[in-house]
Amino acid sequence: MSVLEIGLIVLSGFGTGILGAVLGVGGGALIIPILVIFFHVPLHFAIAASLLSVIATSSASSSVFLGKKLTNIRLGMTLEMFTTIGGIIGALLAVIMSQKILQFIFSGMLIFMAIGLWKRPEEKVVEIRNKGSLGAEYYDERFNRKIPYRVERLPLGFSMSLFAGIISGMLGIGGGVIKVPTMVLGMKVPIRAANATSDMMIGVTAVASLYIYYAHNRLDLFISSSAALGTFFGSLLGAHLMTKVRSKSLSIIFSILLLLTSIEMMIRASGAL
Amino acid sequence: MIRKKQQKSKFLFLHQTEHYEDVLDKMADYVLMAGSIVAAILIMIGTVLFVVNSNEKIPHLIGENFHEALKSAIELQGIGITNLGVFILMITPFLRVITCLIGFSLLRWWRFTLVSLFVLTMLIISMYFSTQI
Repeated sequence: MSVLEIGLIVLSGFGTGILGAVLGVGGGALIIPILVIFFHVPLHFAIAASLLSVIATSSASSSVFLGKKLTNIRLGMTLEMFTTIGGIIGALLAVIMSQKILQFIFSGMLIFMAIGLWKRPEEKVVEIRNKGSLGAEYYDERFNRKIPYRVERLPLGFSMSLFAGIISGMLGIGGGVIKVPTMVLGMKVPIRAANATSDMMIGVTAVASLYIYYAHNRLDLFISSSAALGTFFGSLLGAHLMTKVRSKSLSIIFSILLLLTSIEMMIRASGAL
Repeated sequence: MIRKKQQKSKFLFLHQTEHYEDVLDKMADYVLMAGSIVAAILIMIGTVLFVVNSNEKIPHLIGENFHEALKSAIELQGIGITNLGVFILMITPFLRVITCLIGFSLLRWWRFTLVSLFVLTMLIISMYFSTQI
């Protein structure tokens, strides 16, 4: 691998880090195809590199969100019980799975993510009297007041967190694409708090999976560290830009990009390329 | 009299809970930020050192262990320093869970203390037993 290639991986990580933080989807969905298609990195190694980048994204953006009091640590930690179990199961499945099958599953997940970006849950403010033991509140500058919320349907959150963990461990994406809609639509958590809490959770889930990839010799030192380095700085910038950038049009562009990437990955998996 | 005193201290505790949770948020924030910044700096220094000191192409390195990484980082070798950065990044969320565990137990939120302990156990299982599978 040349120095130029390493530099380009850092730049790719930086770009996907910004996009991931602004759109709240994590950079994994794009850094994996970039590594596979442009740098010819085997999928298992690309997933491990993405998991390390997810840890960097989580650390960078959740430290920004914690400062803004958007993250609900109690809820995040409770759901992490299931995402970590899922993360371990997902990683164990991935290391025994062939690259071809994994590539097909990954392509399918990209399509799901693209649809998720088109049909994002809308923000609704619900008045509540009792926050309960998992609820919290945050200050919303757009409404100029504190928004309290109560967490509902916890069993739904547990089962979807387990599923998100499996997907995260198997495909190296953060799993926010499953957790955020579940928290917003099912558990009635406001979308900004759901995004921030999910960003905090993905780091711990990724670690649980990454240990398995590392133990099975799927973590390439320079590829993964350069991807994570770029993603870290990109996510820091993206988390600050998040409130300033209009994400609607960006979401549409990103979802088209995901669809195209998915087609490319599927063609590769079928052996046509 | 004693009951009144107990009620008062309970009230004070509840009154201060929000403040303590803010402190916990801040602690978690510092741990995540410090861990990731130290890791990013080490990865940068390590990669630059390796490129400057070596005329070879950048190798595909896998399966380095922590003791070897630490040893070669102390000897100021680029690979060792980069590896150390990666290990620090990998333990940063782990340290955040420990911070929450301590924070929740100081707040006497036993339910969340147990939850944190469970997550920590899962991470230890993943770290320790992944090599055995």
